[in-house]
Amino acid sequence: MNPDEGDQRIRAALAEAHRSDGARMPSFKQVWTVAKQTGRSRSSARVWLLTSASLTAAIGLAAWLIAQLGPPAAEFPRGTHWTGPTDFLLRTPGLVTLRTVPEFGSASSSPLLHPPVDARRGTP
Amino acid sequence: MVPTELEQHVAQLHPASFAWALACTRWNPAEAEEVLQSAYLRVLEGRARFAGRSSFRTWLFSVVRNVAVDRRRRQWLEELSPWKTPNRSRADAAVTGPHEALESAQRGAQVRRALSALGSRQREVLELVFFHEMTVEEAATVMGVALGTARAHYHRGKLHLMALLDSEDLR
Repeated sequence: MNPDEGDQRIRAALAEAHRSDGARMPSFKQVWTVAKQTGRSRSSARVWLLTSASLTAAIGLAAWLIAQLGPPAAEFPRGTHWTGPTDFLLRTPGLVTLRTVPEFGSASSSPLLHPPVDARRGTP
Repeated sequence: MVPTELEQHVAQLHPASFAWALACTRWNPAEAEEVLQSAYLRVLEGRARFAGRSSFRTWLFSVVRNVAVDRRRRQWLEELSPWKTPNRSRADAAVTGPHEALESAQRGAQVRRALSALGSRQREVLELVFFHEMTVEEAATVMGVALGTARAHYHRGKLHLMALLDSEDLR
C-alpha cells in the first residue's frame, strides 16, 4: 500500500465515522440561544454577587468607623488588684509587724525561747 | 468583530464545529453539544477573543478543544473527589441505548471505536488533517502544540489507525 492509499483510507474512515453527525447535530440557533441565556443569567448573578459584596463591605466599614469615633473605653485595673487613691493613708509604721503571722513550729523549737529543762535548773 | 458578524461566522462553521466537538468528546453527542454551548458562551462573553493571528476556523476550533479539555479535567477531578455526582453525559453511557446498540453494528461505529483507541492528540491531528482538511501547521495551532510535536503525532497516529482498521477488518 502506498502512502496516498493509506491517506485515502483514513480519509474514507473518518468520513464514515462522521456520516451520522448531521442527524445528531443540534441546530445553531438552539445552541447559540442557550449560550446567550446562560451568559445573561451568569452576568446577572455576577452583578448580584458584586452588589452584595460591596454592601457587606460598606456595612463593615461603617461599623468600624462608628467603633473608632465613639467614646474611649474606660480603663479598669488589670486583674483583681486595685489600689485606691487614699490607700497611702493606711500605711502606718509597724504595719509589717501587724501583718505578719508568727510561725508556731519554728518558735517552739527555738532554744532561746524554750531552753532545755536542765539549763533552766542550773547546776548545784 | 461586530456581534452579528461574529454570529454569522460561528453559524457558518457550526456543522464543522459540532463534528470537531464530537471528536473531542469521543463521539458523545450530548457532551459535544454542551462543549459547543460552553465554547459559544466563551465567545459571547469575550473570554475567547479572535485576534486575527490565525484563520477564524482555527481559532474557533482551538476554543472548542480548550473547553473539551477543561471539561475532561473537571470530570477527572470529580471522579477523584469523594463527593462525586452522577454524570449524565459519559462517553460509555452514550452507547448503551437501543439506537446506539443498532448503530454500533455499523461500519461508522467500528471506525469510531478504532479512533477512540488512539491517543487523544493522535486522534485530534488526524481528525483535523483528514476530515477538516487542515494543514499539520493549522492542526498544531488548534491543539496548542509545536509543529514538530503535531507532525510526530500525525505520523504515529496514521500508523496506529491503519493497524487498528486492519484489526477491525475495515478495508
